[in-house]
Amino acid sequence: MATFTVWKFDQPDGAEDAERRLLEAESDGLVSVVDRAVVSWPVGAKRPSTRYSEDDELRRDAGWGALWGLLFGALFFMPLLGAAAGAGIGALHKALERVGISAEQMDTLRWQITEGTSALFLVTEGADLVRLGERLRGTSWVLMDSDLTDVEQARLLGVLRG
Amino acid sequence: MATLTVWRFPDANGADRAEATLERLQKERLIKVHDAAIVSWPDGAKKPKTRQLNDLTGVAALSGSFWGLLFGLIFLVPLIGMAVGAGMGALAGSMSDVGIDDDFINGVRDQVTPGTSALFVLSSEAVLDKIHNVFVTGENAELIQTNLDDEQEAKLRDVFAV
Repeated sequence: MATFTVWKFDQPDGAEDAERRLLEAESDGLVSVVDRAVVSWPVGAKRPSTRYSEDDELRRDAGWGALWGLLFGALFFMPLLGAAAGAGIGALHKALERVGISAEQMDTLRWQITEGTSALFLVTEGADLVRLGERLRGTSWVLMDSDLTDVEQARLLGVLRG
Repeated sequence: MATLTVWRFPDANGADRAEATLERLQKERLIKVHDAAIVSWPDGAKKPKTRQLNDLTGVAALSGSFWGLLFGLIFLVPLIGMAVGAGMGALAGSMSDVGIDDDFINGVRDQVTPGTSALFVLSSEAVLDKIHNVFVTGENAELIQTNLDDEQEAKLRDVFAV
């Protein structure tokens, strides 16, 4: 079963540290990571920096960046572009709903991921989220834990995989 | 003034071959490349492979988020299975604040299909007829392009700078 989770950290480099622990957890067989992205928002920056797993040799065929591009575009970049982009955000929310990310969840992400914080975005399979949370505990809290229908799961994995 | 140029090749490897050519053209000062990316769509694949050409530009002008958003709008939105008409117009026009309008998005979507590839180049100072000669005569490429006025280019850099 695939899940989409977002973990928030109250330091700009928290998500990157957690990414390392995530990959350890994966090699321990605790979780299978389909795709991931790190958002880091340093204090004083106008917008966050974003990094996808597409640089990762092991997952070159997975995250082609386009889903993260749409997601982070709607959250962080399109609001800065202008009126036409503003009109596009609502339509983009509708598109993202088809892979199980609701407009309310998008609003939560937009309000919670702010200057001075960071977030780890994960699409996982077979994860024991409680045990995974224990690995990341003390540093994070779960911003979003999607409850995907079978159809949404299939769509999400479909756009991430070849 | 900057130009976003898309050279579309009639096979899945054409854009990869063109990368070396573009590098040579830049050395000969026939073009100044600010950022570039390749889309390659093998026959039979459900989605294209994409990559940003960091080596070519030294330091890329734009973050991967720009290409992720652009490729998401062009290639991923139809994959998500959004009904045509249900906000597709607003989505296709959502980068028109930076000179990338719905004609461009739809034109690229129509032409870059399975069995083709494309080289996306954000550039200035291009000696277009010489480059045209190399790609169109040599590789049967087709050209899709849009010009960004100074204000649009400034906004693009402001929002998506690395």
